[in-house]
Amino acid sequence: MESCILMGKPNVGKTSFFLSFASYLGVSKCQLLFRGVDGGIQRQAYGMDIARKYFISSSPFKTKDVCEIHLTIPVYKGTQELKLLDTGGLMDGIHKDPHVRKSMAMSLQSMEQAKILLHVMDTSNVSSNQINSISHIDDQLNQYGRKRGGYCILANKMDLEESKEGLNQLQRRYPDTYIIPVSAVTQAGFKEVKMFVGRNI
Amino acid sequence: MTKKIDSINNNNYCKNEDVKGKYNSFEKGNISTNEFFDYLILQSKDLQGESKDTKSNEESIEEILISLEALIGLEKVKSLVEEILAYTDIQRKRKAEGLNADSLVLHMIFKGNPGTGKTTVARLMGRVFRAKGVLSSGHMIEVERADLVGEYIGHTALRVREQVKHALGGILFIDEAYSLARGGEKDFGKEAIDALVKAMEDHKNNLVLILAGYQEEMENFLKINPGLRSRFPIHMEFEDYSIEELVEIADSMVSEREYTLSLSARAKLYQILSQKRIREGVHSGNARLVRNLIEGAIRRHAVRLKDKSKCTRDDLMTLMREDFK
Repeated sequence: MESCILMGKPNVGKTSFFLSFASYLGVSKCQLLFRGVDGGIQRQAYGMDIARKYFISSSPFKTKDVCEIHLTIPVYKGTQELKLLDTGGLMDGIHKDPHVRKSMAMSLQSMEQAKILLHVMDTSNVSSNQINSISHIDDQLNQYGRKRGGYCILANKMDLEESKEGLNQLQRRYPDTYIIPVSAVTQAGFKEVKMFVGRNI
Repeated sequence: MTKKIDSINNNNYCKNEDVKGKYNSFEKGNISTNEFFDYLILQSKDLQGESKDTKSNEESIEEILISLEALIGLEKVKSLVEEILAYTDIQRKRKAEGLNADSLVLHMIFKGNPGTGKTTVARLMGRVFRAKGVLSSGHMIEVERADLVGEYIGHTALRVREQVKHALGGILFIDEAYSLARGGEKDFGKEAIDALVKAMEDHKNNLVLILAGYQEEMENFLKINPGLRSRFPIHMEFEDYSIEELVEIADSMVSEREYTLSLSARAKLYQILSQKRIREGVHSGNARLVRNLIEGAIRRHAVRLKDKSKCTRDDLMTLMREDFK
């Protein structure tokens, strides 16, 4: 089964998008498969609301495990199964917590195997100097993604007021990349994401 | 050869070791995320070089359309292919917009006299659908009555199912399809048709069934099985080639084989073709007849030159009037 992975800095909304996209594709109860930092694999089923409450928070590095869910997506004639992977955030430099480092290494390992790389960015926070604003690591992820193909940027949090300006800045910063404005809250732009995944699988 | 494979494996192994080492030092905090990415980007550069070879195997839709365009005549067929392509595009777009879109049923019936390009076009369709992503592999399985009809009761359905299994992801092309209905009441051909109808409904997402045969016989065949006509949304009629088109085909066949026709040879060819048309009517074989004529001419050309002590390049290339019979 091909896989599709969400990458990005911490707190840009990867997990929100992950859960929201799964429910958009008709998953009401998510069977999640966790590959834990300690090497264990755990399978758990959650209702969507509970999953949201558990996994989404505004503090960075909430997600440490690589978390996968199986989806079916329409591809030309018929459908195709795929794995959607949610990962912990990536940071510049060397992080002090060995757990976080381990989780980043796992994310990167899964990224190399994944067929599609969705790079999530926080559009409301492009130029400020916070943990989730655009930095060198995003440039590198972009460079890597463009080289290997099956790559696009998801400009998340488009429901926020300040995102319009942010989207402009993003488009100027990455002129050669396909950027899809999305919102994990309102599910705007999900159709385009579905089509992009369908095309590239 | 094995040595080569060994070295490749070794290479991969080294690369894997290398990556693992990087992961380890990343985990231990010896290198930063940024350094790690620099390394990944460098690696993917190498990978790109490798992946280029696999990409060149995949044909683009433009290339295929060019080879379709290169076929002489067949105007109706070409415009139909264009229609189908547009249709698949629009249906996909409609689907993406959430509009009601019919699932793409692309089963076809090809009607036409012998040698009008039915098989050639069917092969091209396979490649077109593969490039468009409608079919996963786009190969073509060519079968006839003998491959489908069994020897005893119950055998037929099994054989049909087997052929369908081979053809999944591609095209199942049944030549002279009308012969399935020819054997009378007790013939197993009927059973084959029933099994095919079932298969084409079951696998309509990943199989294109093409029935081909002569115009009149196919018409009769469809009349006998009224349910069949509606199950095939696409009917293509292959018209006979005019004599001019046949000569044009001859030209392209000859140049494909790196020969040329002398002027008088072309006149002779024209004469042969029109005589055959008058004598045998449209069943004279069309493009296949041209091919046979040319292949015969090439053989006689070889015999003619065999005893000649000195052949120029021109001699070796030119088919003369006396080569055609």
